[in-house]
Amino acid sequence: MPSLARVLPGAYQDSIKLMRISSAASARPGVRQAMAVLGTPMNLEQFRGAGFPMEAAKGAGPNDLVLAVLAESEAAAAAALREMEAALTARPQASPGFIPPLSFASLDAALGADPGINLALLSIPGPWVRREAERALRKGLHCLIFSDNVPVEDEVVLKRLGREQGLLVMGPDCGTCHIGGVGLGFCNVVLPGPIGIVGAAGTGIQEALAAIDRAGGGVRCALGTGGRDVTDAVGGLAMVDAIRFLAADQAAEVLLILGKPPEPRALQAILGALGEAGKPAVIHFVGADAGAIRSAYRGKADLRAAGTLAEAGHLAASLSKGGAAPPAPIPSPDLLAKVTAWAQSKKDSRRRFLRGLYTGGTLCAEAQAILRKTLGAIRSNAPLVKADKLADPETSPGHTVIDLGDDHFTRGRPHPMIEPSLREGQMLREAGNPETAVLLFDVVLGLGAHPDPGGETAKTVARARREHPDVLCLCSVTGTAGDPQGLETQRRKLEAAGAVVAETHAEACLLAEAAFREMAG
Amino acid sequence: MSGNPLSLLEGVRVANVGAELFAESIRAQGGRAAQVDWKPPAGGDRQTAGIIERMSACDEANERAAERLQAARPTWIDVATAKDVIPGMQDRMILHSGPPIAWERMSGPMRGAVVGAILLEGWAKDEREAERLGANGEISFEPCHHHSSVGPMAGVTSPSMPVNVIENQAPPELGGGNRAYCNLNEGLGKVLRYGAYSPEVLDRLRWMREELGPALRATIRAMGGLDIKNLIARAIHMGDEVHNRNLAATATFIRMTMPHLADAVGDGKLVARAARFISGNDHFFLNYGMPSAKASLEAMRGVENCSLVYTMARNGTDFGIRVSGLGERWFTAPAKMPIGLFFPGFRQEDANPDIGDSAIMETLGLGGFVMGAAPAIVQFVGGTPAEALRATNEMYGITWTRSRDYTLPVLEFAGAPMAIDVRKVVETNVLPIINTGIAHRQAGIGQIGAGILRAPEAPFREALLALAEKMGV
Repeated sequence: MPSLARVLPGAYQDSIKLMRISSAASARPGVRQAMAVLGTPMNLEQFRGAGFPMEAAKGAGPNDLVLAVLAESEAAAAAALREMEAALTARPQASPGFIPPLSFASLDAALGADPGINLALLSIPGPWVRREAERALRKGLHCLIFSDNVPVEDEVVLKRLGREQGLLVMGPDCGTCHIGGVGLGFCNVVLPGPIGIVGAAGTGIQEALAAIDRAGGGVRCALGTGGRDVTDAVGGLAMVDAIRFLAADQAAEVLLILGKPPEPRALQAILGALGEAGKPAVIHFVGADAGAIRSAYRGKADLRAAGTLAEAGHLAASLSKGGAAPPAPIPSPDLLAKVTAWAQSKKDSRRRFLRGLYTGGTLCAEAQAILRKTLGAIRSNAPLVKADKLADPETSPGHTVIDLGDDHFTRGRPHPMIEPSLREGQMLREAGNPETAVLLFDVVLGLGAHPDPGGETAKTVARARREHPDVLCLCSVTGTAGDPQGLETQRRKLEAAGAVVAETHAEACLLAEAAFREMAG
Repeated sequence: MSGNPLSLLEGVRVANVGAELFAESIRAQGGRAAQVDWKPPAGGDRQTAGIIERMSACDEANERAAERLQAARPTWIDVATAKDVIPGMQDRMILHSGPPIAWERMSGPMRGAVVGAILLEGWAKDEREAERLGANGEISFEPCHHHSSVGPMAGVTSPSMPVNVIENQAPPELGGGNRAYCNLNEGLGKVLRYGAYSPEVLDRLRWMREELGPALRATIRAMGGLDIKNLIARAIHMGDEVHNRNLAATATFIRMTMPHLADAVGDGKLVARAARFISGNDHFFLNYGMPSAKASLEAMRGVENCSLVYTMARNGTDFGIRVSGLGERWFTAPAKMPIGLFFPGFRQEDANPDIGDSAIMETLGLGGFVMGAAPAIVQFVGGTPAEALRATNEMYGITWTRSRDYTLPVLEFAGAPMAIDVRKVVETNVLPIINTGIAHRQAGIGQIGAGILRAPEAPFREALLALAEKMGV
């Protein structure tokens, strides 16, 4: 059997490295045995034992490296020897840092490594949340629970425990927070400032952040509570605690409270906490009657009720700068003219209905809240009013708006804010529906969102416009100047594809309303 | 977390339990996030997870037990003949590694070592007779662990062998005063502990008995004791994990003992022979490290409700653990096959299943648990220092505490992950990492490589359930 060997004098190498080199070369095709060893007496004995001719290691001492190959052919032996020589000097792939980010098998282990941890962010299956969150709370950590499917009784237990411990329990189903300058979950990049937000609504917080940023305001923090917090079952526990938390925080000068309409007892608790906080506050509950809220708190605190999410953000920004500048009038005259012109040309069209396709749940709710005042019933898979519940989320009778973040659509698939192209099929189907006049949709930017949601959606818009030129594509972009996707770039992509792009979501809804009014009138 | 909850708003430090993209996003914004790779506890078995939840009485017990472990001061105090010092050692008794095992189930290297010990003791005149003695019940086999002892690989210890005596010099109220014993390390290659019993092996053992043992006894008596905990702590700082790498520890040992050896022995030739022998074996220190770990861990045996593991050991056929709150009871599973790097001429198929008491090092929280501190041998765990750090980091997830004395410079001098909690092992399904030498499956051939493996899961789960039952939860 052919053998080849080489002695490299004084070439000390770590023995484990040599064992690896030996194994790698031995595994080559046509190689019976390869050895890379230092010439110690014990090694040389093994060398002989393995069937190598001793003359191959002639003269090798303990500090000399012996490379040897037994192979089926000269060529295979030579190739293996070359590989061993190369391996001696090869450098491993450089790792990015000396100590890479480490992962841990348990919360305990992570806390052991970094006792400074102050927040547990949980995105695990709902039924396991209580166990992990209880542990986190007992260790003194605030909790942000991204998970959904957490039983309501677990939510109550956790929030009560949080209250006992003086810790925040944000969520479950809390997708958006901004704490200590860091966005958690889906969140927009904002400047630091004095506005402290508490929201029971994910994209609601984002829409408000966008408005604050546009108005030049800055944010102390945005604390999510999860949508169920404001039901009487939970009683607004987290919202109340978060308000108290911000009341005690010197740097939070203006409070902004967002969410879907709280149930009566939760509302009382929330208004009570705001009264005690003694800080100027702006409230907006999507779909709630602002007048009723105003009368509920009249005289108790320095509160203002806003009509839309964007208005709430704007108002908070304006208050935080010591003024009360009104927002720009919406809809803007330019866009209104454009939409009116479109509607006038469609007066005789058989296309009579609005079809909304939303990635953001709160935006979907806001669309219903704004449009049902003038368009009547707006059906939805996530209805503001129970009677408007869609029987089948896949078929649209009359005016409908669909929350694509609903479980029905996200089971086994990413959320549409992460993967907006999942919306393409539905958008094209609705555009192709001969009843559809206006296609209304959102584009949400920020951390956690798709890197180019505007570009993805623009492709769909372009195709819808090409195939169904009679349909009005109307949208808003929820984002800030600092968002990684680039707010202006995203807007331009959508405009270039033929969409009418409103400044705020409320404006997009008002434009839709104007279009239908014009078509009807 | 400490201090004012409001400090959250000044800076958030996140434990991200679940989807890693959140941690990545936080880091991309310049924030700090530790990723917790969450898995359903106890493999999603809600009943077991519930039992673990209800075992909170273990916490207080573990705290007390861990305090004893922290307080241990293993000190080398003597070298003596096994039959004179090992409790319960009798004539015609052979101690072996791992949980109890009869001749019939012993693996090749274990039988080889037994044959060698029988020949060394002169109980048989040849191999055949030795095997017959082993098989027919004339020799009593007992685990080292039942006799305050440990032994690497086969761990075979017979009455006339010299053994190191380690004393835990912690105060008695912290479990101190106990002793542990271990034979002397023979070196690499063909050695008894790997099942070799050729004449050269036996000659070496006789020399160790007649010359090396007494020389070391004179040395340590002259020194008045050597603090092994301190020596291990320094060796870790020099890149040893004190199981598969003992280079720094052995070098330090030599530096500290040699002047005393020369003084105490006097005979220049004998000193030279002893010095040459010790210096020729990077692992000479292992047989001080192991009994030191044993003496330390024994201090926390039998603490009621304690869920910490005080023994992990293998006999080449079975792997076994013992848990403090369950006393002497073993929980076993078939020993697994180490995945390793092999000496030339040998391959994976030649390997014997995992063997030896040396997993006592991992039980304490060293060896595979501190791979991150031993970059020179990281090739066993995938080849990069990052992999080794990851391995060490993982072990923090299953241990109760961090060593106050054994610290890891590379992890900003964090203490080694110490004292395995069966609850955490079952809950996280993270199994202890064990570094090991690999024996040939046939008797008489010896060491063929070194490698790494994970402990089997079943003994931890069974011990957990037994403890839960004993606690009435």
